[in-house]
Amino acid sequence: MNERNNINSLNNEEILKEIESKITELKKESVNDKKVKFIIFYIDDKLYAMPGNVVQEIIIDYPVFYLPFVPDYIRGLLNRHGEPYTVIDLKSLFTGSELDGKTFLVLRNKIDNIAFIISGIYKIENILEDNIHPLTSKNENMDYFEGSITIDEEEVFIVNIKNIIDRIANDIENS
Amino acid sequence: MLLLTFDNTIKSYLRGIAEKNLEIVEKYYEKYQKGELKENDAKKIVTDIILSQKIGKTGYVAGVNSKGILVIHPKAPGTDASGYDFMKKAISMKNGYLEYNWKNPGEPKERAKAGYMRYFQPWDIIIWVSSYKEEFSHLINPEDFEKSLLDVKIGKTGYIFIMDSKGNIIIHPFLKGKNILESGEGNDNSFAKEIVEKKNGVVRYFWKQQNESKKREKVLYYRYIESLDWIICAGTYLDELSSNVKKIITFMLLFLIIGVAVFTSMSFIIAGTVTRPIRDAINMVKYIISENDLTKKIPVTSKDEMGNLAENLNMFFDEISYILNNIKNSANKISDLIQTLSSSTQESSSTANQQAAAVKEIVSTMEDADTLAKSIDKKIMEVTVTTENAQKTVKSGFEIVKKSILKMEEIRESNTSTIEGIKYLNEKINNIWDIVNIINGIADQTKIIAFNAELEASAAGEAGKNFQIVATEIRRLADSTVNSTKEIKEKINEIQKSSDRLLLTSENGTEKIKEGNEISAKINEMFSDILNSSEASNEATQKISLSIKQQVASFEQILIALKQISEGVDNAAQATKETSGVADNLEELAILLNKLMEKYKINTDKLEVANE
Amino acid sequence: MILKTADFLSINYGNYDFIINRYNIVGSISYSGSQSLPFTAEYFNGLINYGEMKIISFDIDRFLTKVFKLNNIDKNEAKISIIGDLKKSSYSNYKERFKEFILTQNIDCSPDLFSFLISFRSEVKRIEIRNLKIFPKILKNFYKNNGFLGCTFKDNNSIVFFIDIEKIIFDILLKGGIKNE
Repeated sequence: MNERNNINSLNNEEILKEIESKITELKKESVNDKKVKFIIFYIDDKLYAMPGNVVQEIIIDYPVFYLPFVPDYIRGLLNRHGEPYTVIDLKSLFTGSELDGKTFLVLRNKIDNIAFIISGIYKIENILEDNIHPLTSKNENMDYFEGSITIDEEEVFIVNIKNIIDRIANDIENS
Repeated sequence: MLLLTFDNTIKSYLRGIAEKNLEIVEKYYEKYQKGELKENDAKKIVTDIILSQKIGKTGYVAGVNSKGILVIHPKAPGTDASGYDFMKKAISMKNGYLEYNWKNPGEPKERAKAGYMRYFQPWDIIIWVSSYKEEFSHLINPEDFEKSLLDVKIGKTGYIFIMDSKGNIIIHPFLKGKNILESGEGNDNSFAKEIVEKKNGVVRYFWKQQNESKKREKVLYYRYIESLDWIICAGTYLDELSSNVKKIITFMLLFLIIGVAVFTSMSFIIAGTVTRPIRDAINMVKYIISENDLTKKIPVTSKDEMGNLAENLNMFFDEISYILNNIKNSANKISDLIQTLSSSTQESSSTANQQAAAVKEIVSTMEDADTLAKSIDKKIMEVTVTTENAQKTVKSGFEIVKKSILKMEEIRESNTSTIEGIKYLNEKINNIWDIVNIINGIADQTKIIAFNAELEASAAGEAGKNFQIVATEIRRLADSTVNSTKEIKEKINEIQKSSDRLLLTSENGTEKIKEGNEISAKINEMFSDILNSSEASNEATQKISLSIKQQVASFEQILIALKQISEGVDNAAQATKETSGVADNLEELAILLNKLMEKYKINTDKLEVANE
Repeated sequence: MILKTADFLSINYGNYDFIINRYNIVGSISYSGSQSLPFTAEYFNGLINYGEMKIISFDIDRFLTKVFKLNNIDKNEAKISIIGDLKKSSYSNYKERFKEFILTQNIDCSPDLFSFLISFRSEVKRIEIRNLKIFPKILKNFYKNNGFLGCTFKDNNSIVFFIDIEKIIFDILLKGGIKNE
């Protein structure tokens, strides 16, 4: 009775079986595999990723108050809950030209009061650790990144915040 | 002689008219040849001119073709007169003078006519100038003849006089205007009846003049000229002519009787002393007669009858001399008269010629002016027609412009309302846009909240898992909202673009319409101007046309008058030419007479004595 | 809790405010021109008369406007010279060094007082100290060395910088000026 001409046609029992096996798989995945949350954002048209655990929040439309004597990629100060945050322009850091954006990634203040000015959020995705790719090439700019992930078939670099902050501190000291 | 004169005058008069008409036909034929006139127009003009003329009381000018058809005729145009004998003759003559009888339709009987013909070959027209003979007396002026006639003396007191067939005296030294049948003065005028009856012949009668005591015998030679209805009488007292002749005859008889008696009785006694003087006398007479020398006198040697005879013979010869001298004088007088007549006619001829020439010039100038005026008139007519047409065109163009302006107004109004509608639509769209933007803003914020919630949830670890789910849901909601608003935004964008384009087009359209309106308004103005000016010019041209028509009319009147004068002058010129010719004939005659008289030697001294 | 407050001279430039510790400000006079200095130093605009004394004058207005790229509202507006007393200052070495400077430069001015030029758009405020924040870690030391101690926010659209006027003035005067861009 269950025999059919078409290979792809399943009966209800078979469908149920399939579903249950998928669930088990997923469960296995979620238990065993570690996933990392990433904030995927774009600066102009380019996508970057930031580990979710370093991002406190995303804010939009905050005025940036200009600061003198510091490199251009330090755009100024941002007022978040009465606290001043240093606004860093990654585009200016990477390319030297100012980003025209209104969105800020506020980092967790374990590190410092830092906000990155970005163009916008693309998505938040959980990525398997295995799927985090290490960097393959070693050039200057790659110091800013700590790996890459595949988001919608596109390779997205993960921003290395520590390196960036170190770099900035270095620059300030020497200016 | 007189008849000849009369006849010639009439003929030359008619001929003159015929020649003049021929000239006219030739002139208009030339105009047609030059292309100034169409042939039919030229023929029409010629016909009009020909028919406008009158000869005498009821005479006229006609045109006949070589087939005898009256192509131009005042009463019976188109009549075929080829059957008439005179017409046959006329067709063969084509030019020249002809007398005939004619009856017009509507007339009781035929009347004698005379005509002069001149043939115009290109149009095959015989120009026929004719008049009724009975009306000819109107053509001749008796006064001119009167004087010459009355100067002619016959004998001592003889003269020529003219009466008509009813006895009315036309020319007479002292009885002019009276009727010969009536005036008697105590005389018997049965001779007058005879004259009136017979019209031609000789009559002798007795007449007593008022200043004389007794009647004297007169002899009258009379002749009738029918065409003029004149009886020309030439008369004198017989005794004036024959008195001496009678005397001579009596004397001669007496002489013969006496001579015979004396001769026989005294032949033997006075043979020697009588016969010689007689012989001498006879010889002298013979000589006088043979030599025609009336100056020679018979010698009067005695106081007897011989002497008497000789004296009487002398007196006789004197009388004859006297008569002959009279005749010579008369002939001379006639000659002189004729000379003056001739010269005066030549003068008048030349004057008439000059006049004719002058008038011809005037006529031609007038004709030119007339033609000019006519052509101007024609041109004015054309202009009038053109302006009238232009006016019509302008009026209709005006109407079209008015309509188009109205149409444009409608379009503009509808366009304006369209633009209003679009603007209203635009406002509404903007409102929607604002709302959509708000929604979008909210959606974006929601999204961010969702993100933040998710972040918090992940930080919270296990505890935040449920929160995570909620956060995800919120994010999904935000996403879908953002997507829908995106679509709405796109749609609104499209609408806005198209409405903007529409607005732009409409406004452009309005601009164009405004421009169009302005242009239409300008055209309207222009048309009004054109209309006004064309009306004005129409009026003006009409006025001009009217005045020119008036001028043309008066021109034509002048022209006709001039033509008549021209003809008359020409005729006079022609007539005087002919009269001059006739006068030349008379002169010849006079010269002949004179020559004849010269044959006779006459004693003028003695004649003067005898003339008392 | 005892609210710790301090008085500050507050200078306003639109949405930027600058506060200066009032503790050693001893007076103010309206500015009516200065005598030129025998030396050149950025932003110093001469000596002003204060009573019988001459005091160096620093154009802090110009300094701030330039450094923070502010829109100077009115260049012709009246200015105030704020007089500060070095003796009360916490910077002891400035006192020494300034004296030296005057002597070496042979400037006839007061060694204790200094003045700075501000606009009329200023007031004295009492501010709760807890409201003042120091700069983020990355910037903190750097700015302190440059005379910027901290900041606070009046509202969402403005910032208040807490500046160290003595540091600014005397660093420029004695060290050859603060680094410019």
